[in-house]
Amino acid sequence: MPEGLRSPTVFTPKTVSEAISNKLKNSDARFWAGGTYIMSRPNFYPNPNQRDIIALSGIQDLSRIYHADRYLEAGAMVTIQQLLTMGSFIFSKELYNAINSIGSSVIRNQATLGGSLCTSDMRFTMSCVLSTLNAQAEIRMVSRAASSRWIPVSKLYDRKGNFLFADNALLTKIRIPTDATSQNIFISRTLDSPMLNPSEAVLFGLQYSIQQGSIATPSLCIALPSSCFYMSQDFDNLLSTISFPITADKIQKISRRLASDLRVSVRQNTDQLQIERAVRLLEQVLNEINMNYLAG
Amino acid sequence: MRLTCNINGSQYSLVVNSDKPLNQILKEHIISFAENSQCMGASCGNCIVLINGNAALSCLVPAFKLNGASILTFEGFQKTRFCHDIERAYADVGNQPCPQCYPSKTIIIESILNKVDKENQNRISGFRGDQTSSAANEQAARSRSGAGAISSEMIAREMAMSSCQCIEVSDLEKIINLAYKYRSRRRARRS
Repeated sequence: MPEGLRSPTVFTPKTVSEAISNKLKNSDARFWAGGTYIMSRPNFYPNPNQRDIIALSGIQDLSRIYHADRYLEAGAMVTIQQLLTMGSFIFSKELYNAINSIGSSVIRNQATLGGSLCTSDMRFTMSCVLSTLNAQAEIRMVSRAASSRWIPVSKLYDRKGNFLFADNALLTKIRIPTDATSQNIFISRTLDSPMLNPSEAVLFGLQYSIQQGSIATPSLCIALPSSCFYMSQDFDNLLSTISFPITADKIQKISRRLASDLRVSVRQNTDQLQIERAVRLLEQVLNEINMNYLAG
Repeated sequence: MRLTCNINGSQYSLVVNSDKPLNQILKEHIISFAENSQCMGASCGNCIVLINGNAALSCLVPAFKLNGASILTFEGFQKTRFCHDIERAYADVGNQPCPQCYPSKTIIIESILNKVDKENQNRISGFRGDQTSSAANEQAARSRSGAGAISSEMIAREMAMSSCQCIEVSDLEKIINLAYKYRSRRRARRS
């Protein structure tokens, strides 16, 4: 053990209430899910200011998966690989591929659903995918009164991509819509690895349906992992004004709007190239949608 | 904290920091492991080990998760018959990873073989139903279920874990298919 380096205390609660109680007694301690993100930070070890750890792996409730007709409910400690295995029978091909694109199975075996959504300052594929699908998350507030509530995953973050409930709540369950009768089409794209290259990677998700020759109920999410989490009702309204065939002028108008929105949303020192990539990605997807529609 | 675990078949009882990454623990106790992992957390993939039979990046596993675990580094894995299958496949294809990533790529190949094996066993048991498990039935079930298929896309994705690009995916595909064949043959001989 290096001299002067404190070994953090590890709490191993068996229930969610016990975990909350541990957090209340040790406000500086942090919840530990899979640990892939925390441990991949360059200054993780040795670090003289290491915080105590509340390991969530012993809580059985957080590792359960429940499938209902219209949604799949997964505990926060379900690994990405478990979700993928379960989802191979339930998820659409596009959603399955989006989740399957997260690292290799070695990483997916360790990374958890909750952990990938709750990293404090970095957004990963799951945040973007689940926000686009309008998935709901159950969060349990860190307070003496046992209070929990369901909120959309997109409401967990601010515009700069910061997790809003870092130290005052515990994410316990995620409800992913899997309605097979729905007419919604889901598209997901990832440029570069958000883990290895956050300053260049772009995460893109779009869900929409087509009604009477125009795009209906669109839901767009764009995340620049270390600088921006963009989801805007105004922009979705703009997308819903699109009717087919989509003209080049219309695509240009929409992409210009996205570029200006992103410039306002991003953190300082964000590379303009990253914004440009996001805009081009939207253009590419709109062209694909147009092409598919015209091809029947 | 006191950590009790099994590393390459030897029982260890160590006093370590609870958040100390496994690769640092191995560096201090398994001398030959030191040269494997040099990325200092930049995900080079060279520090991969088998923990309770599952491949994991040792730089991402803290000490507090290891109590009672069985850890196999490449040095330990080299002594098993599973490693001999992979080495035989390297020799047959006439290509092998460079010395720097040889241990990590071999363990990743082992994890792919385990994964495919598990998937195929599940699929075969689904086809087999309540029939008795003779070798002929197993062969038939295998051919019906399409077992043994390993796609180059899957290999490329799994191999992305190791940043070294010293070996082509097409060669890796041949190596993995051959190693899987050798393993299946051994299993069939035993049954």
